[in-house]
Amino acid sequence: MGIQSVARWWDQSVRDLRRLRDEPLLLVAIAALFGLLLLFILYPLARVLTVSLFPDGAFSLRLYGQLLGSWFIRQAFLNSVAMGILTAVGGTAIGFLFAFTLTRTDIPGKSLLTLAAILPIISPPFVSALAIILLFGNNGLITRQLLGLQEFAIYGMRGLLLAQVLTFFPVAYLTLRGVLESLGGSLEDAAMNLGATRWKAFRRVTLPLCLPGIASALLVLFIESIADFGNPLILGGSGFPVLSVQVYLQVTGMYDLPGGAALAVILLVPSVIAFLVQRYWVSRKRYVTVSGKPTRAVIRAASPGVQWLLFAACGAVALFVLLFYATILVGAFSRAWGADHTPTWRNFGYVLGVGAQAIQDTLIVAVTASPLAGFLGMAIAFLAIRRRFPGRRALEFISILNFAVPGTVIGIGYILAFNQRPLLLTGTATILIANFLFRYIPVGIQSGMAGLRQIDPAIEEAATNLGASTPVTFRRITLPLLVPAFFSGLVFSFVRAMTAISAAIFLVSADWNLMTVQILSQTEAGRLGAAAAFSVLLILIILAAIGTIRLILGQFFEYRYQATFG
Amino acid sequence: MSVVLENVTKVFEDGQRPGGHVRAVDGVSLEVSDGELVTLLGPSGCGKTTALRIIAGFETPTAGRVLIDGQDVSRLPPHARNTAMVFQSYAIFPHLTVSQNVAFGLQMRGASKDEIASRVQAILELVGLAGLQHRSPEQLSGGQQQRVALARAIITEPRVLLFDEPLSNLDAKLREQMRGEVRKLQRRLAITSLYVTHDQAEAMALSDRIIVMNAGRVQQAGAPLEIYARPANRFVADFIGRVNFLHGQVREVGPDRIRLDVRGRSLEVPVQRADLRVGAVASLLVRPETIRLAPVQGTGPGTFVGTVRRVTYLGPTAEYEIDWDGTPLLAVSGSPLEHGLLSEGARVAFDFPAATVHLLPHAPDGTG
Amino acid sequence: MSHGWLRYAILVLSLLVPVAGRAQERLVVYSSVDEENAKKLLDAFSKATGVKVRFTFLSSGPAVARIEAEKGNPQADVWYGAPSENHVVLKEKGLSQPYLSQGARDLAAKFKDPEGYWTSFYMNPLGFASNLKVLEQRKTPPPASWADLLKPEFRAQVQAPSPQTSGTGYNMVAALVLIMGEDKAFEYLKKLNPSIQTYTQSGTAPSKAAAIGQAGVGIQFTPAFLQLIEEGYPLKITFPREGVGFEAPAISILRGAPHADLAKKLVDWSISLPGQAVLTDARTYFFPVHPKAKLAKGLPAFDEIPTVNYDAIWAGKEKKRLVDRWINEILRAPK
Repeated sequence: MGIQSVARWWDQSVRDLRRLRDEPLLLVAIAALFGLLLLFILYPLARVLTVSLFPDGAFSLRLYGQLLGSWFIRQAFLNSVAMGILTAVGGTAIGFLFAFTLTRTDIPGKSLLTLAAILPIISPPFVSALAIILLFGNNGLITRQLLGLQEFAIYGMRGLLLAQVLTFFPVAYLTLRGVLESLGGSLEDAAMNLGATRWKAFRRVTLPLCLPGIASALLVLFIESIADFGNPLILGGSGFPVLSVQVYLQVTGMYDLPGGAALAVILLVPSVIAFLVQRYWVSRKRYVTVSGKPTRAVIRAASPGVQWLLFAACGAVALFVLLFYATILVGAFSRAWGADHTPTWRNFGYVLGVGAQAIQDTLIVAVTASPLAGFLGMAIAFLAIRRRFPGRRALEFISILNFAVPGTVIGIGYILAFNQRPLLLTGTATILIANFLFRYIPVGIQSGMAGLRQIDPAIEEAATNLGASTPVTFRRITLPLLVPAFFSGLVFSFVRAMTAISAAIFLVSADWNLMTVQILSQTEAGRLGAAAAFSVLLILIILAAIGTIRLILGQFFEYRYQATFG
Repeated sequence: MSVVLENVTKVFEDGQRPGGHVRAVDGVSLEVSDGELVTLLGPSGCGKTTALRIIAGFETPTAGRVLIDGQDVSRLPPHARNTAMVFQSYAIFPHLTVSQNVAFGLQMRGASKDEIASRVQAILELVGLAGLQHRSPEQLSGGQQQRVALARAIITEPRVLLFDEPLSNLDAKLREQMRGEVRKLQRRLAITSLYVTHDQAEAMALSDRIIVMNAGRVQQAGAPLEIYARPANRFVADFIGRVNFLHGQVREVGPDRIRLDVRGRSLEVPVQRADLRVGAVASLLVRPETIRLAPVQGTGPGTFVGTVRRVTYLGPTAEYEIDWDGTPLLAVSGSPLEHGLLSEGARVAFDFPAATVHLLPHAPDGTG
Repeated sequence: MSHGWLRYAILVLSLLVPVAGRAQERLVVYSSVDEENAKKLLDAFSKATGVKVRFTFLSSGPAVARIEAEKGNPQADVWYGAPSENHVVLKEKGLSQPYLSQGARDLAAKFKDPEGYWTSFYMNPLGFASNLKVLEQRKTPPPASWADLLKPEFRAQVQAPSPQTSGTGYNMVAALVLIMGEDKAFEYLKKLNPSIQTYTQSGTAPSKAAAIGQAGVGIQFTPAFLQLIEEGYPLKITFPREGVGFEAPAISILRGAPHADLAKKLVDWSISLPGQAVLTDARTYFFPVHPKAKLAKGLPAFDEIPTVNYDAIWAGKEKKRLVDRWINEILRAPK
């Protein structure tokens, strides 16, 4: 950048700022947002970094030297990365399979398959891993009872991969379904019209056009897999250590906060790299920006034979998903899950007695955090795409940075940052709400941005032009139009707030406890049936909440929207 | 209420080249007087829409000032400017009904419910939408949507009405009809208006004055007839209507006539500019419809002779492409029903009234 | 103007303001005893003494971190629970204060700090839990010794926590070193590798694996085993005759505790006979430390458990070295 451009940039910034001065409310909102993001996203991360770099009060790379010098930690790092890559590939492949089958064929049972492709987003931690063991373990329903395998090694990479692919493929599915729908069918029609066979049309047209979406799904799954905590804690075993669990154990098992912080920083590296690649490379290569309505997809994309093959493959995965949830359901109603399956209400009685408080707390936290996250996400998306002010890109970047930060790192950051006056938040609901809020803003931002790109900017300009200030425009025009995006953002952050564990486990207290942490402690204490019952309640609450959100939004905005979830 | 742009420049970052910049608007000054309808006319990318958006406040100028009614509004946010824009895409709020759309601006100004109701009613009648109050936008035809956009803009009695190619999404017939209605409405309400279009016919039909822009700069401003008859440069001549360029050498410069030598023939045209000296080469702009054609019956002085290469019959007119010793010429003749068509390959004599010829200094690069 | 926005902003801000402190004059406890059991025990304490208690559950790592962070202005009076070696850490960091309770005279030396910085109030031995159904299929009785685990019948059937990540796992290794001597212990662990299905990351995972039949034998502290048996899982607890380690969770009074007098009452009560009886009556599955305390049905008498004379201080000092040796010799060794 030459001096001239710097001067011009400076000039522009000054002009933008001057204009902001004339919209004081907007200025206040932006300043407040910056303040909140700095406090709740950057500051905790900075604390993690400083604690790991100043272990004895003076700057030293000692901790990093020690950790990286350990064979075990290096192995954990490699395992995390390998796991991330395999999960990304496997999950994206299955996600694409579902997305393609559901948008490009006319097989029967689509609604059931769609359900199976979305349901695993609601995956109660630990209990999912237990269900995997019950299905595929030494004594597993599938491995032992159906296949007659003895000593099928579920611990380590194989079991973990299975669990993670199952848990994360829906994310890839949702991304790729969006891409395939926005591609419409006319391009494939055109290719076949020009003489391409179905396979050629797929290989030469559909697949290349989906590549940016696929790359994006790969990277997102990589990040999710690296950050995953519940599955590897149970399925990893010490033979297959992964970093996210090591961070947790370093702090809780070894009482080594600085060491945990250093590990957290190491864990952050591959994650942030994937995030940056996704953001600045892949998203630029996107051929299709979401722009119009989805056109009707072709259903001639696959020959009848291939259609049935796809149906069979999807059906198998779906069966698997349903079996998985059935296993949990059975556990919730069994006297002793895995040993004595006499039906009983005992587990629910116990859970509703002991866990009532946790259920209430979880609901309070989730119900507070997710609308705020959804709303803030829309607001930031709006500001980032439709308003100009100095630091706009920084605002956007910081606010979605947390997506790349594994939960354990955030958890450590929060206890480091907020355990001292005047920022004494540990033990309060505030810290839990803030954690979920800033953790799941990115979801809101992403869906908000996608939604905004579908709305002609002139519509908002028309409102300002007619005398509506920026906040009024946002509230009266943008937000109602973003209802579908808002809905999916809201649902996603609600689901995550209800099921997340990795950060929350550092932040709960006697006053404020969460269902997921209860599931962990019930599992730890050996009440597996109670853990399963908690999980079933969790799933039911989420499903009920999705219905309620839909109802409320529909009433509130009197606007017809397409449901993107469920 | 007048609108003035003073030396306004807008530089955008070039998304394609990192560090690159594009001057969308380059030192533009213009004025729209009270009650006047001025059109900004130019090809796409000429900066006309950016200029309009700067007036509305959607873009901040990199340099220069915007004055509305003498007040510097350069730093005012869009919602405080009291300009009203009619958008190319109409930008009707899809989640609001017709009357909610129209009422929006009044609500923003805090008008009372009763006032809003009566004014919405009045304005909908004015634009011919009475009875459609409760329709939702997607139930309206393109023309009706256009009227909603118009009603929504004028109901606030804005200081300036801004049109951003409002008719370009309509089919040809409807466009002509709406064009007339817009003009009528604007006259009746006497709202100062700036109208952006790339359609020169629309500009001609609507405007009190036209400002032609290209590459971010004003090329010429003037009444439609003046711009058509005396384009300031080759770009304007070419962009507005169609034109033949002939070359001639200045032989004599008189007080009110210039004599030129065009392909060995002498031609006298009225003096329009003082910068032509004897011996200079000038471009002669000859509008196709001014060329009179006649089948050759011997060669007389004052006429040129060429060959008809191609005939395009358009109903009310016919277009002839004429090869004039290697130079192609376009001529348009009216009412073929009355005069009959020439046939391709025919030798033809042609002529044009010297008074309609416009002179420009010759510039081989075509920029005038 | 848009009051909606303003209201929303105020709502957001108010949510982010921490909840103001509650009424004082209550004993404030940081508890590392799991929430359910802590509630049972502390409720009984309040009932018996009239002292009101407010407790926050913190697992031991976060507890130490928070106590350290608050040392300038302590928010709590007592750290309650977490094995005694953690309280040694607290003492060494200067975060606790001594209190020699009268009742502590009845306790064995391994259950108290000689200067009174911490006092253990219950204990849990390490044990084996065998899934009877799995072992029936393999036609073997539950293991009665460490040596039994080396038998081919237990091939890939044993789960134990990893000493690298779990205090329980380390407790097992340290106890083996005490029993066999260091080199012999590592030789044993090497020979044990074929029997190990996995070393788990968490200290309580082996019991679950044994309960659902994923593993034949799980090794960990006993409370979860007893809970699982209560749930109806076909588990049997055995203790290896060569000996096992144990954990002895303790209480420390924090330095600068605002309510030190109330804290002392909690120490006194916890190791008193009535306090010890609650461990049994409330079905905590914890073993009392007082030699005269009554034991729950189904719990073996404490004397019958072949516990080694586990030295928490020694174990703490040797931890890093032993864990590193374990990683390099046992975990890395081919199975």
